[in-house]
Amino acid sequence: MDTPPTVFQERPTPAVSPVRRFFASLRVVLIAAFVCWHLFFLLFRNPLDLWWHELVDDGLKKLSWWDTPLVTMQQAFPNDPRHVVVTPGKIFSTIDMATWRYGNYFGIEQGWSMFSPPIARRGSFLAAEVILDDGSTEMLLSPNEKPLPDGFYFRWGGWRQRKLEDYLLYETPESIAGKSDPQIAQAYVRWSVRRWREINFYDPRLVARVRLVKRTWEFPHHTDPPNKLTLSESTIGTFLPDGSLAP
Amino acid sequence: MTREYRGLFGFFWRFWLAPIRAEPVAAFRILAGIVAFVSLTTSLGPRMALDFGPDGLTPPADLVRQSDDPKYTGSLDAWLERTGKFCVNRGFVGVPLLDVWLPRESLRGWVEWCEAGGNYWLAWLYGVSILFVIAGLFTRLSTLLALLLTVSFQARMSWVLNGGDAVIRESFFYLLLMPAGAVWSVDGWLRRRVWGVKPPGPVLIEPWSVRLAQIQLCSIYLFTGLIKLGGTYAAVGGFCGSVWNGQAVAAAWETCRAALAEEDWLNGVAVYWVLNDVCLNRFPYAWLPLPLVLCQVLSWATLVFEIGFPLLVLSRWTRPVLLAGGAMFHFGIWFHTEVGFFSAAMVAWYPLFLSGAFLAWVVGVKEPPPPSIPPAP
Repeated sequence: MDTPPTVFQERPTPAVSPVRRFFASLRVVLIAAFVCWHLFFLLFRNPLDLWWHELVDDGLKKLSWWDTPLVTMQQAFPNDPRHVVVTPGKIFSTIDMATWRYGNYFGIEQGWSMFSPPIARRGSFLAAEVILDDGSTEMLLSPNEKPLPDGFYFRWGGWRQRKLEDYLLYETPESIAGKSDPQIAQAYVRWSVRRWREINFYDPRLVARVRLVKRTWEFPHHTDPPNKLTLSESTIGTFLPDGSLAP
Repeated sequence: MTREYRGLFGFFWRFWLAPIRAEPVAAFRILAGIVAFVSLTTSLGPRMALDFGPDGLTPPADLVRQSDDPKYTGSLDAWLERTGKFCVNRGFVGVPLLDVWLPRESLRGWVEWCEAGGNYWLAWLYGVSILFVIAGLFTRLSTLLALLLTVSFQARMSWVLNGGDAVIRESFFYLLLMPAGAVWSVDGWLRRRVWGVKPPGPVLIEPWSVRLAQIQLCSIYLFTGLIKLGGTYAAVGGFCGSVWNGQAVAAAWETCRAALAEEDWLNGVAVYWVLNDVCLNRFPYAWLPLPLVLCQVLSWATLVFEIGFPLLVLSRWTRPVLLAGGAMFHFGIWFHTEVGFFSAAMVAWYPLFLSGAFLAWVVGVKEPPPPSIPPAP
């Protein structure tokens, strides 16, 4: 015997006020608009942040029509005194700025790249060479620089300090003077002086200068013994103990 | 919402509109909150004494060129203004309404108070807001506060951040969009016990915010994988261009192959160099040297995992293996390199790809009986 199909009786829909229906519809429209905008943001921002040079500088900006006026304000509004010219490049710049600001404001910047090539063949640490008033020197290594090349170490934490020191590593004596925020280097110098004083509390000598040094370890090639690291040093800048650049 | 469509449109319809269970969001909220809280209390917080204050390592104001404008003095504030970031710690820069309404003098006082020790009070507030997020108490409000303070503190301490901090920021942004306190939360408990709101079955939510977060995680993996291909695009483009211009295929391919052989991730040496990075690795490579073949396999597996993630996660058959592999992948990164909370922050997103029933089973929550179907008249 065939079972008769189940029949559901539709319940009468309760009456919804037009105001409520309007706000419900508005909510749906706003959510849909936001979702579209956010998806566009993800799709637009990620490639641009990663391949700006290839996509924009070498690609879009070299297109013949990139700076061709699509419309001028005078065409659209003949009586408007402004002379605004709309080009594909300007439209792109506006969208670029809008997405960039949106990402920055809400802390959702894109451009994800971890261990992007070329992978580092060397690693650098920041060190402070303390030059004392009797002419002697002492090297204060970064807390992150472990006993290399042969010692054992176990690294736990310290990565925030590494990020801060990385920020200063790529300066040279010429560039450090023109850096837009020299206070970070200056603060690091004063911190190094304090570190030296804590270690040498009873030492009567005074710190005369501090030389920030980049200590670079070359990693061994896979055909070499795994502990074959080589060290080189270069100067980042020389400072007075108060952090100002030494003359 | 109950309409049934088939094919691609049906998939699209269900993906964006079919209600989903709230447990994945709750698990994401709890895990992301725990990661953020541990990061604050063990890493970001302890650095404050070193970084803040007149002798701190990251002074906000330019010590050489003082500006007359108290709001945008020095380089950090100029950077905040230029990038459009907001930072409560620097005088409500970029915070809607407050940025405009508060007089400059009171902003100067606020900034001085923050730098003189007020940042510690804000850090306490930050910690409490994260605890509220974890507990699911006033969830939307506490998530908003947590996001506000995460972005602010990270803007103030922008010199000492890594990718893990960025992932934590993103977590709070997406949590703010989600009904994160629907289940496994004090809010949910209050709704049931105090206000008597008891859904007949599992709590269902609108899926759009979860979908956005899922797409965000997929894009993180995808673009991280694509950038690893480096010069591959140029090499393949060069090959196509040469063939197009009439060069023999064999000769063009030889040039292309030579270029590809130089790519770290394609020739498989990338993981070898990462493990050798004495700035990152937890212990010397010499103490646990991996054979080059294994490094190559790991390099290629990383590429397959990252680039394949958006596709493989779509299928219910490949998803469990993919997520388990992903958890192992991040554990491996954490085990061998000191990259802070990056691994934990990424894995915290994984519950968003799991089913609510599975998560309820994992935590041992008793399933409410399914809603009874009314008998036919």
